[in-house]
Order: sequence, then C-alpha cells, then structure tokens
Amino acid sequence: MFKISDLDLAISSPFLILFLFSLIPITQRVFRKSGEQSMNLSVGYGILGFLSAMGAVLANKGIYSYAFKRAGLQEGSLIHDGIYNVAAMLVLILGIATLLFLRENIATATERFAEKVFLVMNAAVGMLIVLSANDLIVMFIGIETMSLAIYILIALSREEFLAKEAAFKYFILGSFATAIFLLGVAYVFGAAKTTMLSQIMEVSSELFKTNGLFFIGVILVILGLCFKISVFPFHAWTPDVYQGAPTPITTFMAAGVKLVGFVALLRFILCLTGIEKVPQLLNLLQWLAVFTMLAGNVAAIVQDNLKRMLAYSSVAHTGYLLIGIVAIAMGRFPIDSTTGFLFYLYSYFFMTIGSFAIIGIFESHEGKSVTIEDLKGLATRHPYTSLIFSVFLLSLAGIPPLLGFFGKFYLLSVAVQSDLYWLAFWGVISSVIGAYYYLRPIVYMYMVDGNSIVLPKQYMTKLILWLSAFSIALLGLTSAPLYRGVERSIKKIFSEQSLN
Amino acid sequence: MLLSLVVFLPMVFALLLAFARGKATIRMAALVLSIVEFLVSLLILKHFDIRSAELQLVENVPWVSRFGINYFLGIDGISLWLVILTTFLLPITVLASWKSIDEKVGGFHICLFALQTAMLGTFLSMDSILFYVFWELSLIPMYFIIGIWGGPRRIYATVKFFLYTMLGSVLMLIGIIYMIHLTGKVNGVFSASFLDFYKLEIPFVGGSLLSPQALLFFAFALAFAIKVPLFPFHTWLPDAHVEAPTPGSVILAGVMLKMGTYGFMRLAIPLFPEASVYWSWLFCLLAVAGIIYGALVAMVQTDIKKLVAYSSVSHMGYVILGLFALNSYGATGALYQMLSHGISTGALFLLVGMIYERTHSREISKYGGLAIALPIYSIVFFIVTLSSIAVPITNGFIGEFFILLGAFAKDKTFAIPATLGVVLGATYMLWMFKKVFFGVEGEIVRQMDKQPHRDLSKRELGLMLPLLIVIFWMGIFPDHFLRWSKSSLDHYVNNFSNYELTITPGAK
Repeated sequence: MFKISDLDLAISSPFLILFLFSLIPITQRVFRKSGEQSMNLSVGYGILGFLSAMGAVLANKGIYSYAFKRAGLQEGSLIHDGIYNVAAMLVLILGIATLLFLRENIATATERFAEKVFLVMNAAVGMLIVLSANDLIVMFIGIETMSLAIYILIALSREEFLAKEAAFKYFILGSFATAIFLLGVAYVFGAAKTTMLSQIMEVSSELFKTNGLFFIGVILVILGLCFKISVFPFHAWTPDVYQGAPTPITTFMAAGVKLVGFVALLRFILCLTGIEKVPQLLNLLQWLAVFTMLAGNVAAIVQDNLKRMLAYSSVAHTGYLLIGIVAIAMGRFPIDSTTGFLFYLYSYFFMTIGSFAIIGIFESHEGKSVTIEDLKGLATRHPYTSLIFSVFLLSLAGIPPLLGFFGKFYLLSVAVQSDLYWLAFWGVISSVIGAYYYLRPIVYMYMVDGNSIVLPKQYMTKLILWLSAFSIALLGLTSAPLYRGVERSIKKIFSEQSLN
Repeated sequence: MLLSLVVFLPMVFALLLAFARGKATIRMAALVLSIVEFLVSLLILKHFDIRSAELQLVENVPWVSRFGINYFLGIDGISLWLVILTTFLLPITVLASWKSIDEKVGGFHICLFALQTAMLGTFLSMDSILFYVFWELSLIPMYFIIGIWGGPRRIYATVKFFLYTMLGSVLMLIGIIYMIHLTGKVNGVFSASFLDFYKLEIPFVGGSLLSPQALLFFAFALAFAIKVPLFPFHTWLPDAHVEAPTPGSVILAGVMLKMGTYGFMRLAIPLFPEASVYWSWLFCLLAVAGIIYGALVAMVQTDIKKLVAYSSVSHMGYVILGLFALNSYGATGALYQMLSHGISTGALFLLVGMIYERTHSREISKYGGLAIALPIYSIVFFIVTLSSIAVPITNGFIGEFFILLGAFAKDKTFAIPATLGVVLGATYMLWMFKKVFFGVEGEIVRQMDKQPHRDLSKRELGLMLPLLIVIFWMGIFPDHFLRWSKSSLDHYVNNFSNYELTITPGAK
C-alpha cells in the first residue's frame, strides 16, 4: 500500500528540513546543564528553519512540474500543486510570525521556551503534511502530528486553570474527532480498496451509486474534519480553547489549523466525483453552513471577552467558507468556485493573524483575559493601534474597500453562480449580525471614554500587525491580480483531472 | 480626470489634515480646502454639455477585469446637481462645526472629508461594484461622526444607523452579483457597468414576487428605501439625527438621504421598469403614508431637532411619490425636491444647532418669545421655515408643485392625501415657529434677560447667507437649475421602459 517514490522524498524535503531545524534548540537545551538558553537564539534557529523550508517548497515546485512533464512519474502519496504552493507558504509565514509573537508575549516568553519553538515547528510540519496529502492515511498522520504538538503547546502555559482545561478539552474532543475520521477512512478503504485520493476519484461516482458503506465513510471523514474547522455542532470547543490558550498559540491555531483543515476538506470533496448527484450530502453541507454561520454570529454577540468573541467569529467564517465548499461539491463551475473559496480562505487567514495577534499586545500580564471594557478610550492613548484593530474588524465584517469585502464578494459570486441564492441570503444576513459585534470594540475604543490599558512595547508583533493591516487595506483594492493568481494556481489541477 | 479629481480631492485633503496641528489651524485649513473642492466641482459645469443626455466626462479603467468591474465614473443631468449640492454643503458644514465640535477637531474633519469622497463617489460611479464600495464606505465616517461627537445616546443611534443601512445594502450586493452573472450569460462577457445592466431584459411575471425581476427590484429598492428613508423603514433616522452633531445632521439630511432617492432614479426604476410600474402603487402608498405619518409625528414632537427629523421623513416621501409617478412632472419635481430638501433641511438643522449652542436645550416648551431676544436669528429661521413649507418663490415650492402635478396625472388617490400633507407640513412648522419665537416668554428666554445671548455672529450669518441666496434663487429661477438636467430627465422619462445611457464614442 505504501510505496515511497523519489518524488515523495523530494516533496517531503520541507518537512524534513523543518524537523531537523526544530531539533537544534531543543538539543541545545538538553545539553545545557544550568539556566535557560537565549530565547532569541531559539527563535533565530526557528526562523532559519522556516526560511529554508520556504526555499525547499519553491525548489520543489520546479522539481515537481519537471517530474511530471519529463519523467512521467506517477503521483505518489504526496502532491505538490498550486494549492499546496500557496498554502504551504502561508503556513511557513505564519510559523515565523508565531515565533515572534511567542518571543514577545508576556505569557509565553518564559521558561521552556525552546520546547515551544520545537513544538510550533513540528506543528507546522504536520500542517505541511496535511496540505500535500494525496492519501487519507497521510492526511491522518499530518493531522495527528499537528494536533499533538498543539495540545502540548496549550498545556505548556504556566497559567493554571484555563489553559489546562483548554488543553484537556481539545485533547479529548480532538482524539474523538480523529477517531471518527479514521473510522471513516476505514469505511472508505473497505469500499474503494484504496486510501489514495486520486484513486478514490476514479471510483467515487460508481461507489456512491452502489455502495452504502462508502457513503457512510465519506460522511464520517467529513465530520471528522468538521471538528478541526469548528463547524456547528462540533464548534463548542472553539471558544474555550481559544480563550484558554496563550494568545500566540491561539493565533497559530486559528489561522493555521483552519487553513489546513479547509484545504484537507477541499481535497477530499474534490476527489469525490459524483457527489453532485448525492443530494443528501449536499443538503447536509448546506444546513451545516447555515447553522454554523448563525451559531457563530449569534453567540458572538453576547461575548465580552475579546478572544471568545473572535473565536465565535471564526466559527461564523467557517460557515461562510462552507458556502464555497457546497458550491465546489455541486461541481457546476469547479474552477470559479474553488478560486472564490480559496481567495476567501487566504484572505481570512491574514485577517485572523492580525485580529488575534493584536489581542496579544493588549495583555498586560499573564493570565489576563482582555475584555471589551479594557478597550475603553484606547483611541485617545494609542490611536495607531486602534486604527489597525479597526481595520481588522471592519475587514472581518466585510466592509469595502478592505480585503474582507472582496473575499465576501468573490464568495457570494460563487454562491450566486451555482444558484445557491438561499445560502447567499443567509450569508449576508448573518454578516449583518456579524457587523454588530465587530463594531462593538470600535465603539469602546473610539466612543467611550476611559483609561485604557498601556500597551507593552512589542516591536516585532507591532511590525507584523502593521504589515497585515496594510496588506488588508491595499490588497482589497488590488484584488484582481490576486484573484487571477489564485485562479492560475488551481487551473492546472482541474486540467490534469479532466485529462485523466 | 476631472471627476476623479472631484471625488478624491477630499480624501487627499483628509490626509493633509491628519498632519495639521492646532484647532484653529485645522479649522481654517479645512474651510479653505473645502472651498477649493467646491470651486473644483464647479469646473464640471464648465465642461458639461447641457444639450446632451449622454454620460459625460467619462473615465473608464479596468479594475477587476475577471468580473468586468471597472473604475467607471460619469456624470449626467441627474447626478450633476447632487454633486454640486454635496460640495456646496461641505464648506458650510465645516463652518458650522467651529463652535459645535470642540474635541478631536482633526479627526472630525478627516471623517467629514472622507465622507465627502464616499458620497461623491456614490453619485458618480457608473459601475455597480464601485457604486457599492462607495455606498458602504460612506457608512464608516458617518458612523464615527455620530458615535464620537454625538449626543448622549449616540452609540445606540450610530449602531442602529450602521446596521440598518447595511442590512438593506447586503441584499443589493446579492442583486448586483446576480446581474453581473446575468450579463455574463447573455453577452458572454461579465460586466458590472450600469450601462450594460440597462440593456438586460429580465423576465418579469406580474403579481409574482418570485420572478427574477421582482426579486431584484425589491433587493435594490429595500437598500434605497432604508436610506431615503421610506416609511416604515425610517426608524433609524430620528435617532441618528437627534444624536448626531449639527454638521453630521446637515450632511445626513442634506446629502446622504439623497443617495437613496438617487439610487431609485439611477438603478431601481430604470433597471427594472416592469416591476417598477407594477409595484408603483406600493411605493406611492408608502410615500403618502410617510408624508402623512411624518407630518403627524412631527406635530407632537417636543424636541425641535426631532421635529425637523420627522419633517425629513415627510419631505422625502414627496420625492418617492414623484419618482413613482413615473412621468415627466414627477421626475423633474423629485429631482428638484432632492436639491431643495438638501438646502432647506440642512439650513434648519444648522439653525437648530445654533440655538442649541447658546442655550443647550431643544425643548420647544422651554422657548417662547425668542423673536425679541434674537431678532436676526428669527428672521433667518422664518425664511427657512417658509422654504421648508414650500411657500412660492422659495425653493420648496417648485419641487412639491411638480411632484403633485405628476401625482395628479398618475393617480388622484395618492395625489389628494399628498396635497393634504402639504397643509399638515405648514401646520407643524408654523406651530413650532409660533411656540418658539412668539407668545409668552419661556423659561430660557426669561433667563436670557439675566445673561444676554448674542444674536447671530458674522460666521453664522456668513454660513447661512449662501443658503438663503440659494433658497430664493432656486425658488425664483428654477430654470437656471433645471435646464442643466432637462435633456437627461427627458431621456429618462421618454425611454422609460428601455432606458439606456450612452457615451459618445471617442469621448474621454
């Protein structure tokens, strides 16, 4: 079943590089007898590892297309396509940003820092594995690597109560979900006699008609993934875990795990040919989308804790993204739907990094949970930070001309194109509900007087925040080339498919 | 380039103002810059061809070519005066803010200028997505203006304003996206331009709400009806007006409400002619209901500002009535009423603001006998009152007269109650005037004897004077304004069922 080809080795080089680099800080720490080693050094090694992995991803791009064009190699368990190209880069950028956040955040820049660097890098390895997985078992391995590292990262916090609870909750529920995923894989394997996605694709439409077990397997796999991307009704862990985890880790999870989870779901849906003729599945996905949007947005309204609010908002955005998944599953305009979906996914990735990371700089001491009340009068004392935060919030609310609006526009366009007016309607209605709670922090920052918190000087964090705020503001206006870029990156996938 | 200049100059000015320090400097600079913007916008008149019904001064640059979205600006007789009105009110609002805005002066002017860009962009966009971007963008500065510099219940008011307007516009967004995909299906190429939208034939089934044209029509109409605001979607307006600072109210009543009626005129009616004809009774009904309801509610208000706010609901009802009369008189009157309402209600809000700055009260019952204490103020207020109740030789008369003519030509059932509304309008304004300025001296006027209040200052007279001039100018020489719009209005009315806008080939 497993045959490791040369191509697989080449594609896995970024994983290996990241893993080897992650060993450096932790080995140093083991050999050092007394005292903590320099955190900057660990971060340095980490960044070096991420940068080398980026180089490897870029190099592989060439190798992979060469292998296909000239050598005529068969696809192995790992693939390196346009989606992987972009998403892997995003994960690696997120990795660098997370290391810098970890270094500067009060809650995480403490003892056992080398371990945190090690774990973040290995979580990134897991993410890369999922992103390139062409096989359900490989996908499972990737998800587990990523999740295990994150369970420990949450638990490593010195903060006693919430973080431990969050880690435990995430661990128990996460294991449950991966078990469901694995059960689903077993069913799919039983029906299709393979776990390779590209081979499932060939038999899927036939199996949908003839084999009920395949259908059950597909549902179980989808539900297993739904947990990771916090789809209603599997979203209940999200606010607790996001709140309990140290903020840099929350940022890493919220942006990274969601990106990876959705790419995995996308790959799985794309390999299910003939899904458009299975109305039960499409209906299931549609209702999941509607309930997720509403559950996230309605619950977010009553939150006073900023991290919880953003956690529910992240649930709501999962719902919007599911609209794209439904359109892709309907398969009427595969390229347009996938492009619109990925554009939203990528743009949401940037907004998430920004909006969670900015909460990190509001935390004055460890274990402090930032509430909306803390923002009172922030605009008077810290006008630029307030401005940046407002940009993130307005972009999340989908107000033009920010990136979030164009994401929403392309996604709604996908829905309208596939005649999913009902979903588009719920999407915009819940985005109005969403606007209410996105405006609340702005109200407190600008319109309520009060003594706001004094912000710590976290230069690197602020730099990253500025960069992402700028890109959100400017990429919105210049979204056309971006859209074309995403479109070009996936066109090859579909042309190869039609050739098969 | 001229239109882009007009649209984005305020944004550039806003950035410049961000670097200015000191209240006095910012105020002076803002005044000068706003006058510059007004003068630049007058250049449009110079380049505007009065005989042409075509789209003029066109700028068209691809933006998101994948969906046929362009940066597409253009002007015709319908948007011309709305643009001038917008730039005309800017220096006046800047001047009006000198007393009423005393905190975060820089931020206020940045919001004001950014708002100006958004509003001008809305009037000049000929591309649906560009239009939507400006339309939604205009919410943010106004959200801050009400929320930061507003009255005690400002946060409730501003959030309500924001959410209400957004609720309407998101459905329009779906409508726009549907139309873009429809152009793609019909023509083979996506286009988001209004010009291509006009050419579409959208199936309409009378009586059925679920036919595409009816659904689209209501998706657009809801967005505009909330903005206008048409009864029963008006509830955000009194809150927003009462809490907004004076300059905010002036812009809100003077220009932002017109974005709604402009939307009807530019989009909802010409894009969906069958649906507009079929459902015109509904909009006429709501318009008349708004006229009567607004007037009756205004009558029982104890707060002057709230009274003016409800009078807006009533007056904007006339505009909708004129638009849905779907004839030449109605359309002309509606356009004229948009302008004159912008002037007269803007002036009323300014006057209410001036007296509030002096006494910190807007309770009608606390006034009385103000005419003796502040004679000049009273005279100005009286002129503006006359304009608001549409007395001949003031601007209000022309618009309402044409609208009523149009309404009578269409259907007397709506015209007669609307005419009664005129009487009601006179009643509440004159009652208010009587209670505030004449009669027994009220609490506040009695206190004035102890600490005398100054009558209108030079600044206040200076900012009211242009408005007074325009009130009479528009009332006595309506043709000076209407002849600019005549070709466009004729074109709009005559080609109603297959409206199209053209651009002269080769024109840049």
